[in-house]
Amino acid sequence: MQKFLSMTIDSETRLVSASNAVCIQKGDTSGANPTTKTSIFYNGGVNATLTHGAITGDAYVEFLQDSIIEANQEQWRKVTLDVAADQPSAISALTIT
Amino acid sequence: MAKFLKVPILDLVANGTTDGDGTGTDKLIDSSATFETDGVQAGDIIHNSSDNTYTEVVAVDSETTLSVKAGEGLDTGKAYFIHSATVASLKAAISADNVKVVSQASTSTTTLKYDNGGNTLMTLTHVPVANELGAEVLQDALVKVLQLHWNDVSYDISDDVEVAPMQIIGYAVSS
Repeated sequence: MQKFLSMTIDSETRLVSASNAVCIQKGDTSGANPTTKTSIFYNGGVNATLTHGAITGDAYVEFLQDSIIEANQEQWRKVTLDVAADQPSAISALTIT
Repeated sequence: MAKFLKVPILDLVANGTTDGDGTGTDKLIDSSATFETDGVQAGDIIHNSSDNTYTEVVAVDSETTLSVKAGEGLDTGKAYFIHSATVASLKAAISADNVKVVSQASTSTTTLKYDNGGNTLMTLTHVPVANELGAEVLQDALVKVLQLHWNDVSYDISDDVEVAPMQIIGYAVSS
């Protein structure tokens, strides 16, 4: 049952998978740039790193965690959850590794 | 049907490297530290990452010196991380889906290996606990969250009394 977060990335609407996420952490996949990057680690080794406006603390991690949990609480026909208005800061890039 | 454990991660309140020998006096000494300003408190957890050992703050003597448990003073040149014993600002959402095996890799680390045909491995770092307690606690929590109704997606383990002794201070994933 696939789920997606609908987000604004570099002024465009993009879908980011809310399925098969193992965890979310500050920084890129190696933990670097913890205030401007947040990474979603998916089961299987694919990772999505969001580059965003500087945020201290865990606000971006909590935002993504809460959004993914909320998306997965929706009934099966609601495949996307629009969270663009809740983004703690603007996202400029999405990098998949 | 995604499920997550919400795992409290105890806050990091201070870190640095010791520059004085506290082994004979049961101290942690760091002339660059600001322990009082940082809010270090008695009972907080000290992780000596140089030796991968743990002790506890007994008293905050000054901005630069802590009293620790008897016989557990830190030598000079030891990297340390001090975590709150009570405050966990972040509750990390850890996937409970497709977990293949939970094992206690050491007294202070418990791992979740995911079944994806690869090597996705979640490592939780915690204060040392008895052999296999970490694995047993997490296994029980996984079962609990997977037994919840399909739209109860997360299970907060903060209030689970079995989890309390683990005092989790970090989490990391590798693939």
